[in-house]
Amino acid sequence: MHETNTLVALAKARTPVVVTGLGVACAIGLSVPEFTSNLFSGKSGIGSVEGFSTDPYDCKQAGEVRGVGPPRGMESERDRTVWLACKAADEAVQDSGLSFTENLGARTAVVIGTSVASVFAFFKWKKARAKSESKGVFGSPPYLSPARVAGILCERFGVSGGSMTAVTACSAGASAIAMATDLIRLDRADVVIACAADPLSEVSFSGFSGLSSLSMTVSRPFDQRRSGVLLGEGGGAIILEGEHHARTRRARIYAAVAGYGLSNDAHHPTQPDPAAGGAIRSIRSALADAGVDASEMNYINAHGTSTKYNDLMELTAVRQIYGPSVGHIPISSIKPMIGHTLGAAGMIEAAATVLALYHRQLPPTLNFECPIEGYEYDFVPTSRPVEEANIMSSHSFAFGGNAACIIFTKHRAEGERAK
Amino acid sequence: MMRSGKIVLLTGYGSLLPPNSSTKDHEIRQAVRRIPEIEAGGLVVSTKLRRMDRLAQMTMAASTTALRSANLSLDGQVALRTGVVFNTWFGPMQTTEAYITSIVEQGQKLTPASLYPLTVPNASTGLVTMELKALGPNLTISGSSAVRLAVDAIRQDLATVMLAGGSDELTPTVVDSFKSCGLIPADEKAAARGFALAEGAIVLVLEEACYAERRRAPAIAEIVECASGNSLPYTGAPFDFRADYIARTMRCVLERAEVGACDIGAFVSGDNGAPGLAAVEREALIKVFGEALPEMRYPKCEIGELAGASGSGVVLQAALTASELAPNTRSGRRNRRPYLLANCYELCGDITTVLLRPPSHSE
Repeated sequence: MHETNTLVALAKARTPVVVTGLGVACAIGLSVPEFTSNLFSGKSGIGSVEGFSTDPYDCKQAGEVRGVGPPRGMESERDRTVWLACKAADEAVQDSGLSFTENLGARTAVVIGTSVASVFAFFKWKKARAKSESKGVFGSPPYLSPARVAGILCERFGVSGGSMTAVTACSAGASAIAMATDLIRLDRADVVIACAADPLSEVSFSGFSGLSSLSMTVSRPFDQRRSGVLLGEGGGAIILEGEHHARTRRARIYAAVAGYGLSNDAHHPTQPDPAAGGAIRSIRSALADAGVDASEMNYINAHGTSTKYNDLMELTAVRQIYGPSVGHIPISSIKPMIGHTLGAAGMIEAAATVLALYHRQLPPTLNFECPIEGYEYDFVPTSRPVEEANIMSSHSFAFGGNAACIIFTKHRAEGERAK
Repeated sequence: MMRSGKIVLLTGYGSLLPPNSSTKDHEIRQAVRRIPEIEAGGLVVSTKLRRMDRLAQMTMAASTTALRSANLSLDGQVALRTGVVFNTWFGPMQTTEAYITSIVEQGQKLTPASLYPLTVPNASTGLVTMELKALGPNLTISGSSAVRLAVDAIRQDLATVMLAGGSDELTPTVVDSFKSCGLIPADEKAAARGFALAEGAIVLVLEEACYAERRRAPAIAEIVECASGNSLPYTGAPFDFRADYIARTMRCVLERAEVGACDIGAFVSGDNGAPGLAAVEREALIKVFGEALPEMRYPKCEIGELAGASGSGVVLQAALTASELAPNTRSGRRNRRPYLLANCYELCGDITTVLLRPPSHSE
């Protein structure tokens, strides 16, 4: 069923995709410079939850974003998902240097990733309604739909080349990057604003708490003493652009999107497949799509939730894919710094991977001390420079079985590539 | 433009719709149309159904019917090369509302923890994927692009078979939201005047033509090309579109496929009866076709607005219409206008146009 010749022909025909803008709003930074500085200095953004009372819960901590409010020009907007998305997207668009004329707007699409989205506002409304016994209506249909964020961003930047929304839970950000990549590869757009956002909601907090997945101490992915995840919130945005388009306007190019892989482990709604089937298929597809050999990988930005089963599943996948060379590949998770930002995680962590590639510096796995027996790999306990920074990947896994892997490569000038 | 040369065929479909969905009798066409009972029992083992919520059961029923209709079972290599793209506007609302209500009224400690994983928007896709063992590319979206994403996955050789579709269920909150903007009357049992809201699931089986031909699958239509766009300005109104943007998306499809407007034999409308949408669509059609419009079909006027299932519903109607445009083999004459266009309009200005034609191997 597989036709190698077709794959080769496709790879030659499709438009290369590059990253020309970044935007981040999360617990360790409200801008890319702040995020970068804290990312590489290993600063934790985890603190006591202020957004709602944690009295009913044993866990009291999360990675909240302080100092974000309604976006410029939208002062009456109440949905925190929109706040975070606009904050990140505004920065990414500005960073890219793009201004959307009518023609460019028609060739630009918005792709959103989110999981919580409208549920955040819906929960608040339900709570208020229970107190006041008001019989008001939550809102018109768009307020119930995650697609509203994409509509708002299209309007904000004047783009009309399509609005899409990935809702694959904790892999939504990575799914959005994959969908955005295809839009450019298949000449459906020249530019895509890929953005993901999720607020810290009591609904998610309660859900993870009920599943006994929240840590009472710290998040320490891949550590023998890991005891669960800490949640976070945030927005991330990446401007993807056709390479030729970016070069023509002399844009700064952070990295290239070399490939992606999407799959599903088809195992259980919440528990990861112990054999890591979905993760393995997504990583393998991404490597094939990127035309990269596993031995060439320079760094893996792991999903690394710090839960017992998810970390083991991810390490099983990594060992299976990278074989004996896995011990030489630095692997880190930034969730101990920013919390698990759910639908935004894939996008913010992809941005961290791009920054690692661009600055040749690895973000650390904060709080990591003792490896799990049998998995004594390089988990980057403290940030450090990296000698080889050519190919790096980002993993995302989700409830519902979704698995995603995005591979970024160092962007090379045309002459450099010919050599 | 990048066309890989891979031909994508629609080889099966399944749907779960409210009763009398094909009626044209407006007296019994209620403004809100629900499915009284999910009849998935004959399709799925009951123990598996028990762990699915209502939305997942609806999606499962449509998916299983679709695979049967395509005469396809997902075993071995086929499972690895079969992907899923499902659309939902609101996600599992019944479960989400039950979960949230329980937290608000009873507190977290008395709320069943097992409900939470079923509240994520991709829960029903995940459960269906789990049951069918479709291990290829997997996406849940909220928007009109499910068929386009599935076609792109096959064209890029990421999958050989894709299940593309969508589903949504109606809860009091969803219905109230449509009432709040005047799209449906306060008395939801009243006959619909224009817009009618329905719940349901529609799933299409799309596959690469060589594979379909090898396994002698019955092809219903060929999906020739798709394009997506969005209308501006985004005003916050649920179905606020401008003709220029609809026309541009349609022209984009025709240009990518190198097909002329004069080759279009039928147009399947995405009009759902929302005020003003018919006029805007007509203006867009005139921009593309001039005054000589193709034959028109209005599936949503019969079925109602199916939310997440509406896009695949419009494409399905176009595929079934395609068989009427098939070449006249008895006389040996070729149909001179063999293509169809189908438009999908979803919330927040989201537009997708799909170009279809009768399957070429039936010629």
